[in-house]
Amino acid sequence: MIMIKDLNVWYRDNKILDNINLDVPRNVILTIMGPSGSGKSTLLRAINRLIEIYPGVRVEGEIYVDGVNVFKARTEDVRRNIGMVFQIPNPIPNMSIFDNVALGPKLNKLVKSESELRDIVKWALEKAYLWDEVKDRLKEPAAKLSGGQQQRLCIARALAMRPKVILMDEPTSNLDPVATNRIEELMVELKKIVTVVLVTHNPAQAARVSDYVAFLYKGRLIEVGSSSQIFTSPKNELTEKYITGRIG
Amino acid sequence: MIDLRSIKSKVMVATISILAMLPFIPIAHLFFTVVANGIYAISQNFPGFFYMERSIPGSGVIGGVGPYIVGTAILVSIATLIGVPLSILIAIYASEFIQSRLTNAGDVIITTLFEFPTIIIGLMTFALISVLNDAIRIYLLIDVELPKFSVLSGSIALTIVMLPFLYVQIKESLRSIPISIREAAYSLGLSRIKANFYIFLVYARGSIVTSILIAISKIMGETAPLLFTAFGSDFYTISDPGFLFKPIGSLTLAIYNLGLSPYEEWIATAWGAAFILLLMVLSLYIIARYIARGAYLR
Repeated sequence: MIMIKDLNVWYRDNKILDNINLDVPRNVILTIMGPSGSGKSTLLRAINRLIEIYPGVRVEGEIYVDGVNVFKARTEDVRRNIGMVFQIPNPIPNMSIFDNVALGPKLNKLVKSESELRDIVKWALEKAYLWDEVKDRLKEPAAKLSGGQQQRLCIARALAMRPKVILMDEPTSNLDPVATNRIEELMVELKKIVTVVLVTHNPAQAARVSDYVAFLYKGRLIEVGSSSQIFTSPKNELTEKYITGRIG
Repeated sequence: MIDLRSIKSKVMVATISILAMLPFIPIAHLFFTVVANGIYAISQNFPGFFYMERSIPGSGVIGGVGPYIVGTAILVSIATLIGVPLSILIAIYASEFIQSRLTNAGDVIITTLFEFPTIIIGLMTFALISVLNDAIRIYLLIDVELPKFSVLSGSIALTIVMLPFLYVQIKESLRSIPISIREAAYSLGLSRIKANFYIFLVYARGSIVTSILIAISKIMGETAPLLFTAFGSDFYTISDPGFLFKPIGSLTLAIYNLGLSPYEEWIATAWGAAFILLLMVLSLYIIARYIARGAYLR
């Protein structure tokens, strides 16, 4: 589904990612884990080219999503097909709950009628396990929701675009354990319809939800493998040190 | 035992408090003079003061300020209709292309304009229209004379007064949008134009509406840029289909012209006009403050 080939990223003169090669199959959760500053978020933002909104960034290499080379396609089209959820829940606070989810389909003209838009918003909110909590208050501003609800709203916003891939950048690092648990359950549910690439610095979370795990350290991809292999018999010494808490 | 340190502190605090209150004395004096004289003038001819034209000097009757209120409303509305969209567009450009040379050059020009005395802006508009007239006559060989003293030139002058203020305010609101909101917009596959118009402007709408209201109250109180442009008129002109090309009065010009006249009736009318202007500006300002507070609460 996602194929990353010889990816190098520089920020000004610093090399952030060093020759990354990675394959992600369809409908799985792949977790990129690693300590802070290892380049996890940069790798994630390279996949949907969001990295290009930062001045001073240079990218080399190829990334294919569903067979399309993202660096040869139009930025808008690439981002439309790849949803993203961020570390800090970032709904537009003074927009209504409904409008936040409707944003993508509406502005990208993916729907033909108001009723189609309502259906898609309902579908996305249901998939994000949020519909029952907000169905009577769709007109309220998104800022009134709790942190966990806001993050699920952001997931619904990403889903409403009907993406094939969802990128999640430490989506639970600002949430309490109960909200974290709900999001993790949701991720496992979501992989039925999309491929999820999750970034976390928490090995326990990686172990709980992922099918595949990639370990990134100082901009280099140290090891990739199935979740059970990485957590039971890591091949690389650094991976073992990281998952046992000796580096990080 | 006398604690010298606490006495010193109390004396200093008292001194500073008194000094801080001093500037309010002339402001309060001005405010109450305007309110007292204004209410007295209006009460002499109520409610006619709000819609009648000014009286004949020596008649002993206090007339009204109707044409001036209408004039201010028209001038400010046209200036707002031109100035607000223009400054939003320029501010979006400046916030998106921070490093471009056009942004830097434009920024210097517009912020310099901010510091300009407004009477110079009035003269500039006057000169601009003269130059335009010459250009039309010489290069297009059409004998048309754009009127220098007109509603349009007055509105243009007010637009130039409001533009730098609005530009700076809106640019700052847009630049202070957190990166997380920018990422949210771009991750949905929006173009820069859509992201700005549908998301960033909505996100910053509280502070933008506040700056627009403050800009309106600012130009509402301007006299200097209108002296050489709107010029002033004491009568209703809007029944004339070509009124946009004719001089028009405004509350500020009326205060200036009538207030300097030797006639008691006119001076009283000027006080009334000052009171109405004060009310209009204050209420806009209070609404703006209210919206701004709401924007921070969200």
